[in-house]
Amino acid sequence: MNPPEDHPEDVQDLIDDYLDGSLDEKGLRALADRLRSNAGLRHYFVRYCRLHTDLHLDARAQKAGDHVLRLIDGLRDGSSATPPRARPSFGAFRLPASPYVRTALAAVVALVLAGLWWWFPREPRPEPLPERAPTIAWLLNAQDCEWEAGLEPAGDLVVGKELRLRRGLAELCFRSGARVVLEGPADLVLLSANSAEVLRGRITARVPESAKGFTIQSPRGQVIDLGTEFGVSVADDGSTDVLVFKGQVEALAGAQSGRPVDLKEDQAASLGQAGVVLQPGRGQADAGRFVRVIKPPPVVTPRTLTLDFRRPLDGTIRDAAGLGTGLTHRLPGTGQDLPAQDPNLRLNREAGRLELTTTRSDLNEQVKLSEGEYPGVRLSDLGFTGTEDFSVTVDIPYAPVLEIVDQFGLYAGVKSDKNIRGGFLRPGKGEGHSSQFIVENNGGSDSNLYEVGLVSIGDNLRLTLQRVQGKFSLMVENRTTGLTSTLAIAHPEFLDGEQDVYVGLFGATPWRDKPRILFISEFRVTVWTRSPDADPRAPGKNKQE
Amino acid sequence: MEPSQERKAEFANLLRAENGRLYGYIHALLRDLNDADDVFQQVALVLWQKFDEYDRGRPFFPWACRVAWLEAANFFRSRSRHRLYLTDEVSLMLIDTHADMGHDELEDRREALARCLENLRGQDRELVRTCYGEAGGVRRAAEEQGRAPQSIYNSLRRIRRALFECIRGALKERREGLS
Repeated sequence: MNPPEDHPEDVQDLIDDYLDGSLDEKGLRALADRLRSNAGLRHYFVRYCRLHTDLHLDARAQKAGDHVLRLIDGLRDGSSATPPRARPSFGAFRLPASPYVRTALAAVVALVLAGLWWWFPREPRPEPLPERAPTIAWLLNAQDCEWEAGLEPAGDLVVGKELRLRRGLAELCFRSGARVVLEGPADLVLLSANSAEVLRGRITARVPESAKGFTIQSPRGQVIDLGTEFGVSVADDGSTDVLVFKGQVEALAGAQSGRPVDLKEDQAASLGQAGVVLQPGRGQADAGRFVRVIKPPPVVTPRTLTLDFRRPLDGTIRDAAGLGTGLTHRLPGTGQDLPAQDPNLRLNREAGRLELTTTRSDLNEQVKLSEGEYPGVRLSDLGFTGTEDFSVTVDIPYAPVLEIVDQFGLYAGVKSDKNIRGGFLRPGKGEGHSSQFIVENNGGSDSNLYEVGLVSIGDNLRLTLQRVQGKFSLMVENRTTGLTSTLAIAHPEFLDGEQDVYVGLFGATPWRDKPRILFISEFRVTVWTRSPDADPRAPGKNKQE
Repeated sequence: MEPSQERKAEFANLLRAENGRLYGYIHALLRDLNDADDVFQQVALVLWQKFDEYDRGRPFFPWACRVAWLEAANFFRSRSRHRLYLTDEVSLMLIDTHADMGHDELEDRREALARCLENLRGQDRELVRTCYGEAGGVRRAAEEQGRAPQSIYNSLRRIRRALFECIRGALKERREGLS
């Protein structure tokens, strides 16, 4: 035995620093040097570390014991304070609580023992190791799944459990928080709360920070996550491809002694005899092959209103000449002072377009909105009840000349001070190009303005403002340049659950009495209503990305 | 028994005999109980997968430690790049030292620890259990007592060294009593 006097104080400090995690690199080198050259110190070090381990295990056992004691207390109190009241149909439960207490206690003790089984090495335990393994994963989502008999996710998903999916999509959540989508046919073995082996098939993994280090093994290597989303595909012969969607992974081919290779976003590689071989250009090309999210099957019915402005429609907002434009409502809080025959609207039937003349008004700070031009439709007329996704699209054949803060586009909202709108505005001074924008207005003032890109005067544009799965975005297709861009907005919660929502188009020249004319060749609104007799979660055809 | 059942039983027996020491080796490398749990679980599985490669003529524990060391190295690389760990050479050398510590010694140390903990001053015992009982225990103790974390670490060191001495004394007494 080596008394600590044999080891000077500074070594003892190094060891304590090591255990407390406060040792720096220099200290670690010093400790390693001393350990390498001194067998007596190694002897002491191992035993001192063992004390550290035993203290941890003792504290854990103590905690588990306290937990059991609390449980016993709680159960006793509960049973005496509120004697078990039997419901009429459950007369059999009119028993003293004690058997239940005993069963619950036995279960807790078993769990404690399972968690601490190495703590009792002298107790021979007849069961083989894997039988008391805790559940390490659970099935989160399944769509059109057909499982191999005996290899389905029935019972506990414990270490060593094999799952064989013949067809369909299944999503597992590991205890670590990592999520894996399996696409049948696929065969997967659970290795731990944070790892699995894919024997064949395609999977994608989404790994939160808490599960960093999540590992997928394959017959040809392994992929260790470094905080990311990635896909792994294993062919019947075991050959393995890896593709990183986001973040970074570490890939190893063959045995664990192989050299690891870091793969970054959009990089793909194959694992095989030759090690980890990068596949340039494959990343984006193959991304579409992987199912990354199981989407609810679309048992929804789109209800669409399309206006092509080639004929007047009775009972709708009338233009300067008294022709019905097809638009039925205005955004509440706007246009109250406009005459019944709106001088700013012109239905040009021959050209098949609506011409809208802007007025001096602004949703931002609610300026002169009684004359503001915000015509549109009410979504409830298309079956909207508050939760459905919807979209509104306009075709603008000729982007107008704008001056600073002049703007046009689409809106969706409840009233003039509770809406979001997006389209184009002129960010700079003078006349010229405009830029795309999307902005929220909750309470009268604009907030969270997103601005991007430029549009040339005269471009042919299609604008779509939509809410998909509760998220708003504005898509701009520039049919002159062929470019498409999408602006997403941070989810504006103030419109969640609103039932009386209006969508439409607008044009405004807030800073000057210099009207602009906006041409609109088509206006289309769609609400994705759910059919009332179908459960949206029922299995159906899966629409994949 | 089927051959595969027999193999399973053999493996289970070997692992059961060594899991206490194996866990100690892993914990000494990683020093975090939750990390040690994860790696231990992974190691047990890899050992089973590689059990065909195990040479029955050799002791199980050093073989298991080598696998554990590889898994711990993987773990460090992927999960805790910032945490420092001992060089490969020293980690491998320590396997032999862990192997030196027999099961009886291990068990005697635990029994002695239980008694030594009882002999601690009440507040010291509480401090040990708070700090070792959960992740972030030191921080919690520091907040509760209105002390700096470093001061808590210093107290822990003093108590740990005293406990080590106490265990050493108990083992010596026992040896002398036996002889």
